[in-house]
Amino acid sequence: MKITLTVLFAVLLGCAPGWAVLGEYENSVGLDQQVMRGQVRAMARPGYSLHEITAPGRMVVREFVAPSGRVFGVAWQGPFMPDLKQLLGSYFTNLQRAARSSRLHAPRNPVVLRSDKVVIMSFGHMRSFRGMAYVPSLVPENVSAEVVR
Amino acid sequence: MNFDRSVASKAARFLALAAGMLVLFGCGGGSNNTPPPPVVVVVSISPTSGSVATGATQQFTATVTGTSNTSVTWSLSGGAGQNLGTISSAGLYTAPTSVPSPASVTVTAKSVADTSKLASATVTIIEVGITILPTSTSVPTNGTKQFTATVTGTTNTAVTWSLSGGAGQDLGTVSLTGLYTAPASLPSPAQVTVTATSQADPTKSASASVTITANGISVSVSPSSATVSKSATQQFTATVTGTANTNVTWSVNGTDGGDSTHGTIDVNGLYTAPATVPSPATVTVKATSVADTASFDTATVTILAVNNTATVVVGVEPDLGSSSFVNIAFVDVTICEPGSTSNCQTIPNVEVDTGSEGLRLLKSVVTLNLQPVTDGTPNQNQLQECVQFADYSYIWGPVYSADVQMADEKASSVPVQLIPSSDLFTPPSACTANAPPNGELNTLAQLGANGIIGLGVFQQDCGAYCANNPPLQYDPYYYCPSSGCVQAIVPTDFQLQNPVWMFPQDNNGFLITLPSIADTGAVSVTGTITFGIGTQVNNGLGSAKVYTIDYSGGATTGDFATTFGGKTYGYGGVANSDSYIDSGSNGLYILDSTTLGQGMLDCTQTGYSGFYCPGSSSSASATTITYTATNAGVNGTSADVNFTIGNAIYLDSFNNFSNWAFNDYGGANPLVFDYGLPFFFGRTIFIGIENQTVGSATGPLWAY
Repeated sequence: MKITLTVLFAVLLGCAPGWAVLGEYENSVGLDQQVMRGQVRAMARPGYSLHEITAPGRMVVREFVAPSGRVFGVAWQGPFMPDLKQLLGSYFTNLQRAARSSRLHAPRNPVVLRSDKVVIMSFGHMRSFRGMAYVPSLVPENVSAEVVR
Repeated sequence: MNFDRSVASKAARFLALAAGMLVLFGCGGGSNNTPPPPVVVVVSISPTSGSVATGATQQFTATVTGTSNTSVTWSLSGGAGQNLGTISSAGLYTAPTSVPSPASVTVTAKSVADTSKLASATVTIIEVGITILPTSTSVPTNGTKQFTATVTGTTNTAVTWSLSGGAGQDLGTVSLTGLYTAPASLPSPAQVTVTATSQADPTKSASASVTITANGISVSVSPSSATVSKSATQQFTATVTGTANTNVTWSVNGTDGGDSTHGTIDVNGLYTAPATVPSPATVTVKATSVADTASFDTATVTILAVNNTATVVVGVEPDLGSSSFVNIAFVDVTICEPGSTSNCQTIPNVEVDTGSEGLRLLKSVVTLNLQPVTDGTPNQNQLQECVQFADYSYIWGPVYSADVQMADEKASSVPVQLIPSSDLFTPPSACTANAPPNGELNTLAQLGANGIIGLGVFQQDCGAYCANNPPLQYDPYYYCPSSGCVQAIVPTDFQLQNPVWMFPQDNNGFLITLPSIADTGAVSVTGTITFGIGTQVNNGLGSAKVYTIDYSGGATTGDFATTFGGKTYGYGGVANSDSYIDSGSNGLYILDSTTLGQGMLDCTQTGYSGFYCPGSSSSASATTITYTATNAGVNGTSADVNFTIGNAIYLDSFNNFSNWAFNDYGGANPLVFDYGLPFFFGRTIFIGIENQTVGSATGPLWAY
């Protein structure tokens, strides 16, 4: 996999592009960067584009947008959990189903959901939580789902 | 506590913003689009890491390719001003006679042909210590006695046993495991010395004196060693065989009944430690046969300033029974109303979680009248916290002040959380929005414990981040005036605390020791948590290697680096990967089956999805697979660790679902090494707390 990083532009708070949730169009529903009080920038990558919001205190959310304008993946890292309902949109209920308990499935462990419909991973410990999610059917041709990190 | 946060917080906010921008510009993929490089000089070194005892030698070999001139020059580097030892032109390294600070020495081989090409190895200098038990005893002719040697300062704890005594005499035999068998007749003199010599450092040995008797009497004291805090008691028992008179007399350091300096012992073997720690802190308790004073046995007692060791149990939660979760490590925690020694309550079965900070208890088990932590306004709004976890379960509850005690270590006025507070305030939507059904951990059944005690590498659960930044939607702290709950900037001393750093002593960290268990698990496992690192005789780092973690003030991931299959995860590794140790993760949540390889399979049976099922993806199999990964600290310390993963279906049902401790089950967690509780079995793991000094290092750190 070959990635060439090209920074197209970096925009500061107040002039951000429209933001979007997993599986929807980038300008459809706002993951309002003001929620994160963050800075946002967009980068062109081969076969897709990457929007990244960086908030004070290190919270970072990355959204991976196909040429069609649909968000095929999101990734996050920060001291606490972002609002996944906003990030994952309709796929959020899949995560909720994955996070269940049994004798082995104690609470507070990482969650990994892998299906044909969506792949979601959520892990970490206090002060450092991370995760990523993508919709396999929306990943552009010639782009590896592994870019969603 | 004070609530002033104006100027400092503005500066810190600016720094945090700057840190955020660094992240902004530091991210993004690299390029591997370059043409293959021309043949160049490459230097490699062997071995690349290892331990060398003080004064001992280690041969290093350098291999140079890409040039006909394979010569190298050798050099050493390490702590400034330290004696690092010497290395010869042939690569023979001789360690210094004392351990330098830090204990790591870098050995570098540099190509003579191309001096820009070099290779390095890291050597850890170890100081081997060895003790033997008992140190003095008698054995009748043809009788036996088991000796035990303890080697510290090295992972190679093997010893060689030997005997010495009168020349030409039959001294008896000693087995490879230290079992001594006396000769059939008295040697002359009737004294035999049993010696254990370290194989890691043969210059280090410990000896015991054995008196051979012809009276047929054996005396055995149990336990053969004990650790007692000052003024505390320890019961010893003497077993006498070979005579009808089984009475013994007891002495301490040669004084019948002992004395106030070294402790006293009564006729029944009850030892009482002195009120102050003697020097040396180790005394010898002796039981002498009344039938024949030639026969005796001894035990070694170590006296501590403060009892710093609490018991940790991995097993069923007694009130939950079969509804318990596996691999939860429990400890008893005593809480008191601040300043009180009588209004106290011991809460059993609180989970030890090295992946969080702070004590969180079910409100239903707490009977004390604790004072709320408030915002200091006339309304006295109480601090509330919502903590979300990786599976989006959450805890919501108010913060109170309590003294927190484990063993004899007590921290004063510690902010602790009682859960839930749903009866007082509806959890804010930002707290609940992510939660799965029944996602609030507010009952024993949900939590699997009476509470969680977060004992990690940090001082607070949030730290500077929550003290300096305007809260974001998902940040944890709230005040709840009548107008509704609002998020708050909270100074660090109002936040939930890892109580260990607030202890008056033994406050730089702690160590958790859990014994090895079978790969099929155990019903229950008992281990210890010992507070302080290198502060008392029972909490030294020994041979443990120190791994510092990714840390820069409040902005930190707490990760180290793990290399497996040619890729590095966590610190400095692939994007958004992670590597950490977390006793609150109940399994080894590591990578994915494809990346692990060696035939690893994902479970496909209903109820086991997400777990690993080597041998058979859909049924029980006794198969286990062992992997080796390399953990590296930010400080450059690096060593291999092994971990084993078994079949979750097999392990779960083994022993009719009655095993609650497992060292080898786990599940998928792509890009992540989450070394959960299984990693702790058979290890002693040290946790050094942020900003606290541990030996020559400063926390946050891990050592094992």
